[in-house]
Amino acid sequence: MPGVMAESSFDMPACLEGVRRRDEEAARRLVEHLYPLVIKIVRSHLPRRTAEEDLAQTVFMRIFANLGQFRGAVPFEHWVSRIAVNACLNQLQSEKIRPELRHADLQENEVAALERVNADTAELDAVDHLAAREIVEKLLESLEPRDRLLLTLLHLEGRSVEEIRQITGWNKSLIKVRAFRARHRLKKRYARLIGTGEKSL
Amino acid sequence: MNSNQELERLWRAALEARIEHDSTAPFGFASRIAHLAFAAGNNSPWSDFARVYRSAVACAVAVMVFSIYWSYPVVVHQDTAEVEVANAVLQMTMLP
Repeated sequence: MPGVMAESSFDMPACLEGVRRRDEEAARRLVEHLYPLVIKIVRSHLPRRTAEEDLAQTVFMRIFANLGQFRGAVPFEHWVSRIAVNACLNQLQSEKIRPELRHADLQENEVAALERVNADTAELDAVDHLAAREIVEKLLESLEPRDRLLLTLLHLEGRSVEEIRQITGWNKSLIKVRAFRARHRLKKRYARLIGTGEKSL
Repeated sequence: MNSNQELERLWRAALEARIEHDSTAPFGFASRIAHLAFAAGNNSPWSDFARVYRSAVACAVAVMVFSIYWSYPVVVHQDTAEVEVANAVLQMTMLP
């Protein structure tokens, strides 16, 4: 995650020390430093009905409330990532309704992009890629929060199992089993999506 | 092509999507969070003292108002017409 951080000369231990002394200026600098990391996680796992700034604010409030528990055993960014991911997971779980995606729910550009993606000869442009991303995100939204989180981390963000273990706290075998099952459920959802499209034709 | 292969192609296309986001904090966001973080859990000795002082003042005011209210005699307002009727009845009953 170092690429996400804006400042390379940021003195994290000194800043944390300042925050522990209740220095508001140090807290402000810490928020500005961590914002790119937190907002990236929030955007990746954002529930549809939640504003990203609200969720980012919740994450930062949790960071400050639990700062006393940070012992320095892991890098501070990893600790922050875990808090952010758990906050997103809680928010996703609080949204009980996860409607199944049907072909009729897709917009015209998404249907066109889907056809072009599946056609062997068609060249895809930037709009098609964006539409494909939208469809994938809609499919992920119809899954259980843990499945969605895992597939996003593993296959959209390209993180390793070890990184996911550090972020979520789940063990490696559990991650692999959950990922396998989540992929299976996603395939079933996609098959059903395509099936509803064929029926409506 | 089966649906699994289609999903793989869709996924690959989604990965190539370029989404540009502004990742700098909005104006005032960091200051607001910093302020909220310390305002929510204010437990310094001075803030404890201020909290106890405020409670003591509120309690003293309540006791003062209560005691002032109960220390004055209650003024009974009687209707003058009622008094006159009562006197008349009294006089009538006193007649031989």
